[in-house]
Amino acid sequence: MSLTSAALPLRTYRAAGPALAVALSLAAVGGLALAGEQGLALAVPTLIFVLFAASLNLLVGTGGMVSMGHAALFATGGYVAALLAKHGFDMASAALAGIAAAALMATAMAAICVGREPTAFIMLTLALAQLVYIVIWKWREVTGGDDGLIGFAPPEWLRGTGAYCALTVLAVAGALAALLRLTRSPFGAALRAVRDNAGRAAFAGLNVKAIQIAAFAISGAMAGLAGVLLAFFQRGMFVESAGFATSTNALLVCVLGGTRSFAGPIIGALVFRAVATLAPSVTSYWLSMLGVIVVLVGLYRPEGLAGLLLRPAARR
Amino acid sequence: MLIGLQVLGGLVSAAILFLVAAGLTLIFGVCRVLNLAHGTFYMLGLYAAYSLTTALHGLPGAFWLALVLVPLLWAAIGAVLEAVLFRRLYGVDVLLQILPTIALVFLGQDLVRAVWGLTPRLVSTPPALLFPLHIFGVTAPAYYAFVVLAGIVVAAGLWLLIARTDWGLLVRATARDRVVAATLGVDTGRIMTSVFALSMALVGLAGVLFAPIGGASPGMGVDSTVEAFAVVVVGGLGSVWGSAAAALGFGMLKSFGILVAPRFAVAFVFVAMAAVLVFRPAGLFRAPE
Repeated sequence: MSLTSAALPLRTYRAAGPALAVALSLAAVGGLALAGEQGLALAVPTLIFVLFAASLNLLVGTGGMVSMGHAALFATGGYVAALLAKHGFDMASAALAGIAAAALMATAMAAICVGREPTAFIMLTLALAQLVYIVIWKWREVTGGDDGLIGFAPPEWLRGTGAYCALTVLAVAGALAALLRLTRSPFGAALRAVRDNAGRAAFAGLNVKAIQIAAFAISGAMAGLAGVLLAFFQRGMFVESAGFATSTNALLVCVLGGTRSFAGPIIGALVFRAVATLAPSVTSYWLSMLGVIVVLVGLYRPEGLAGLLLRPAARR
Repeated sequence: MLIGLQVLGGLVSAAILFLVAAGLTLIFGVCRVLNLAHGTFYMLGLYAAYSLTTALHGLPGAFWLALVLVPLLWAAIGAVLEAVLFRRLYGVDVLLQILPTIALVFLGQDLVRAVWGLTPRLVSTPPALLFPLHIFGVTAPAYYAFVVLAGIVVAAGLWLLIARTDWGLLVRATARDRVVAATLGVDTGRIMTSVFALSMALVGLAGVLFAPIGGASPGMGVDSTVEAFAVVVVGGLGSVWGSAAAALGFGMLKSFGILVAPRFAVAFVFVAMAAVLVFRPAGLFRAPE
């Protein structure tokens, strides 16, 4: 336990990190926008993945809770919104319901998993996510099973890729700004205190379990928003969104970028999406290779890409 | 009639679940490492059984050869993996501990894709066990009874090994407190290597045993890891006997769940897991700390 926390740089790059993340995200979206409609169609899932990874890092990095069940929250948001939209509700209320459902699911998950030893926590989050996956996969009448849930669309004015991309930029930027504020608020400080030493935090008067469950609910709402955005972009939800790979990809991205900085998962997600878009034409085994690279990053550069990029700036 | 068949089916599931979960909980209990790739090695065991039996096509003893060779090979791979990779992960932060095992999951999936492709692979039942057996008042494949018997024999052997041999004593000592055991002269490094090898042999055996029943398919590695997690958590982390009891319960739940709601039989396992943990947070067979 002490090995990594000693190796991780604890200084925070208060402005440099978020500024770098914003610059890189804007560069990515801008670059893709130059490629026209097709580029924008790549930018939307990229931004959604950025938000998803950042929401996971509230638990993993800030909260020290290694959740392997984040896909369940993402899928809950997406599927609930998709179901309501399919049954005639407008996009705004479907989206709100999806976000609320994801937050509720996160709270339930947290109530069962929080406060256990880290290993049991990992196994439980993964097992509960598998339960959600199985229900979505098998409950064909409601979810469409492995055919996916289709038959709904965003309102007329959002059907162009450009308009939807603009909405995604706004939603993701807003959510990330809220997340950044949150991590730097007293609540964020309390969450870090619980991560670093739960016993001492409790002794100082913090309600450890309530703080952890609240972090889960907020993280779940953000993951749910990511799911909602994807549902309306794809005009469908598919069972893979709840799968093991959805959770592990986000976890890999957090480590790749660095879990201890706000910019880390954002940079990691951008790099991952770039690799996932470009690499398949070179080798179909890119995910294994990336996995090995992330292991090496985790073991030898625990501050991640964010740390590597920001260190010179911090020294100056 | 029907009940007898469901009981036998449940026992078969339980035997396989136990073999997978026992390895997982042993590795966790002694080495304090969570191996997410455990089910991947189960899946690879099935594929290895497939490749061995097809390579020896026509030989009547091909299956039995696989039943011996794959666990031995898996034990060797386990010993090497422990020495090369897992040894570096003991005592490390839990996130860094699971990352390499996630990478192993990806590597295993890609290996299956590269060597065997995406089509499911079936292994034929060994001819010697291809007769119908009259048991519990029903007629069932003799192979099912063989799998259940194998599970029971391995469980008994495991008990003898852990509770009655010198090696078992050292394993229990290492699991209880590695530092104290090492101070008292136990070569804990070698104990952990051998525990890893044993766990891998068990999971390899589970793979070969299940091959004639369900066949091998690419997605089953993760699925079996997660199911084994449920077994291990409900049984109590690190408790082999808790895992045995939980595997039995889950095997029956799956088998009888099929009668109630065929599609959600597997989901019952996870619902039961959540229910047990709400009422007994430390699992069924471990005293709360």
